[in-house]
Amino acid sequence: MKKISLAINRNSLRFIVPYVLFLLCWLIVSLAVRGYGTVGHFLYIVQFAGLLGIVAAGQTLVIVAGGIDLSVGAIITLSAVIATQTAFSAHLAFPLAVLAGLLGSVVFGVVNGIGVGIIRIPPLIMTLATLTIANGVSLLVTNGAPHEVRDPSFQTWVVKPGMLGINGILQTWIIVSVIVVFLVSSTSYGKKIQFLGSSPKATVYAGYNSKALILVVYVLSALLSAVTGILLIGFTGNSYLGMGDSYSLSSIAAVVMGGTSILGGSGSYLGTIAGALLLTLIASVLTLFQVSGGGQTAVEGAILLLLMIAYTTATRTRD
Amino acid sequence: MNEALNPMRKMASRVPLAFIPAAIVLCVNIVLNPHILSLRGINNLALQIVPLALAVMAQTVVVLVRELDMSIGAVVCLTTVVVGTTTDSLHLLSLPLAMVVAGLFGLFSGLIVAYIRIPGIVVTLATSMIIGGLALVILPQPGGSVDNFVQNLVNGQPIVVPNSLLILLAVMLIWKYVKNAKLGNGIYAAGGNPFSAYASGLSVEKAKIAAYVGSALLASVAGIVVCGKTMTGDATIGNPYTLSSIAGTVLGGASFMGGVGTMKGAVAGALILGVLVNILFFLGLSSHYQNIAEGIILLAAVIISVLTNREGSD
Repeated sequence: MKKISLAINRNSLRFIVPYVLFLLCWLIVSLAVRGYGTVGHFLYIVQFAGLLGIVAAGQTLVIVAGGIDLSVGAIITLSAVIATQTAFSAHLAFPLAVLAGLLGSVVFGVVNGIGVGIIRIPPLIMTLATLTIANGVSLLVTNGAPHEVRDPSFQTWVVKPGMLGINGILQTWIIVSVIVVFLVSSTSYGKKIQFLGSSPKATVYAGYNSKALILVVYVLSALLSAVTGILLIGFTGNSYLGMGDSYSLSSIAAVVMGGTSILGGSGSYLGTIAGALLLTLIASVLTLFQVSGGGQTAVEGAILLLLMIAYTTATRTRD
Repeated sequence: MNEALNPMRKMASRVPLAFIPAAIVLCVNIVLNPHILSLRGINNLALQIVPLALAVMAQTVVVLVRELDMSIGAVVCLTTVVVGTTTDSLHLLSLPLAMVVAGLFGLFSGLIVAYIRIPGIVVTLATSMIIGGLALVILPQPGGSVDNFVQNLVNGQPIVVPNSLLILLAVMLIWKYVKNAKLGNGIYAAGGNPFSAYASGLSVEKAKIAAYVGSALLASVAGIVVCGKTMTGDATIGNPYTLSSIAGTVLGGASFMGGVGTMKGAVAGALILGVLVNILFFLGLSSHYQNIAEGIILLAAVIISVLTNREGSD
C-alpha cells in the first residue's frame, strides 16, 4: 500500500515540479535583478510563453499518443510564409490569407498522419522528412525574401493588451489550453490517445481505430503550430525563412519538462504549460545576462537532459 | 553446405542490395556528365560523398543496437569548430583532439542511454542542443583558420585515388576488424535480440555505449573531411547530416529494429543519396527544390523498407 501511495505522489509531483521551479526561478531573478520583479514583466513572460505553449499543446498530444513531431517548426514557418505571401502578393483579404496558412499546415498534418498511422513509418523519421519538405515549400513560396505584415489592427490585437488587459497571444493560449485540457482529461478521445501511447497493440485489439486517432493527433499538432505561426507574424511584423525552427526542439523540451513521459501513454497539458513558462523564463534570463543564442541552446539542452534523468529515475519503481 | 557449393550465391549475399541502385544512379550520373570521371571530377565526388558516407556509417552503428543518434550533425559542426580554432596552435594534434572531444560526448550520451535507460532519440536530441550550442559559443560566425595540412590530408589526390576515399577505406578496414572482434558481435547481438544477448552473458549496456562512442568518432572524422573541404570552422555546416544520415541508413538496408545492416550498405546508401542530388541538379532542377527532393527520397526509401519488412514478417 505504501508503495502505491508513493507512486501516486511521484506522478503528481511530475506536474507540480515545473511550476515550483518556475516560481522559484522567478523569485530568485526578481531578487537579484532590479526591475525584473514587476507584475508587468511577469505578464510579459506569460504572454510571450504563449507562442511556445500553443505549439507545445500539439506536441503534448502527439507525445502522449506515443509519437513525436519534429516538423512543428517548419510548419510554423510555412503557415506564416503562406499567410503573408497570399495577403500581400496575391492581395487576399487578411482573414482569408490566415485561412490559407492554416490549410497549408493541415495538408502537412494529414501527410504526417498518413505516414505514421497508415504506412507505419517511425514518427521521428516521418516528421523529419516532412520538416525538410515543408522547408523546401517555404523557400519556393518566398524565394528566400522576407515579407512584411501590413495589417495594423491584427498586429495591435496580437501585441497590445486588449480584453482583460492581456494581448491576443495570451487570449489564444487560454482558449487553446481550456480546449486541450478538456480534450485530454474529459473526453473519450483523450482516453484513447493515452491508451494508444501506452500500448498501440492493445488499442487495436480493443477495437479502436488507431489510424484515425493518429491522423487526428498529427493534424491537431500541425494546426496548433500554424496558430503559433500566425501569431508570430503579428508579433514580429514579418515572415522569414527559419522563423519557426527553434520551436521544434523547444516544444519537445516543454513537454518533457512538464512531466509527460517521452515514451507516451501518460502526460498532461497542465505540466506542459509550466514547461513552456519555465523555458521562456530561462531564455529571458539568459538574454538578460547576454548569453548568446548558442549558449541558450546549450543551457536548454542541459536542462532538458537533467529533467529527463530526474523524472526517469524518480519513476523507475513503476516498471 | 549450400553456401559452400554455390560460391556465386555466397558472393551475392555478401554484396548489399543497395549497391544495385547505387550503381544505377552512378551510371546515370556518368552518362549525363562524363566529366565526373576526370581526376578532378573523381576528387570532387569523393569530397562530396565521403563525409556523407561517414555520417551514414555513424548512424548505422547506432541503428544496429536499436537506437538512433540525432547528434551526428552537431558533432560534425563541433569538430569543424575545434579544428578551425586549434590548428594554429596545436597543428596535427588538433585532429585527435577534435575526435577525443567528440568521443567524450558520445560516451556521455551512451552512458545515459544505457544506464538511465532513456530512449536514445531524446537523449541525443538534448545532447545535440548542448553540442551544437557549444560549437556556436566557441565560434559564433563561420571562420577560424584551418592549417594547410588538413587540406592536403583530405583534399589531396597523389595518384588518381583521392585521399578522402583512402580515409573512408581505412575507416572501413578498422570497422571490419571491430565487427569480427567481441565488440562487434556484441553490437549485432544487442540490437538483433537484446534478451538472448543478455541471457548469453553479453552486456547490452556496453554494446550501446560502444555504439554511441563509435558513432561520435565516425561523425568527427566526417567533420574533419568537411573541414579539409571548406577550410573553415562553421558551427552550423554539419546540421543537414543528421537527416541525411538517417536517409542513407534506410537506403543502405539497415533495419530500425536493430541487428541488421552493414557498413558497405551504409556507403552504398550515401552514394545513392549524394549522386541522386547531383543528378537532379544536373537535370536543371533549381536549388530551391533540393530540400523537397531530399525529403521525398527519404520518404520513398522508408516506405519501401517498411513495406518490404512487413511482407517479410507476415
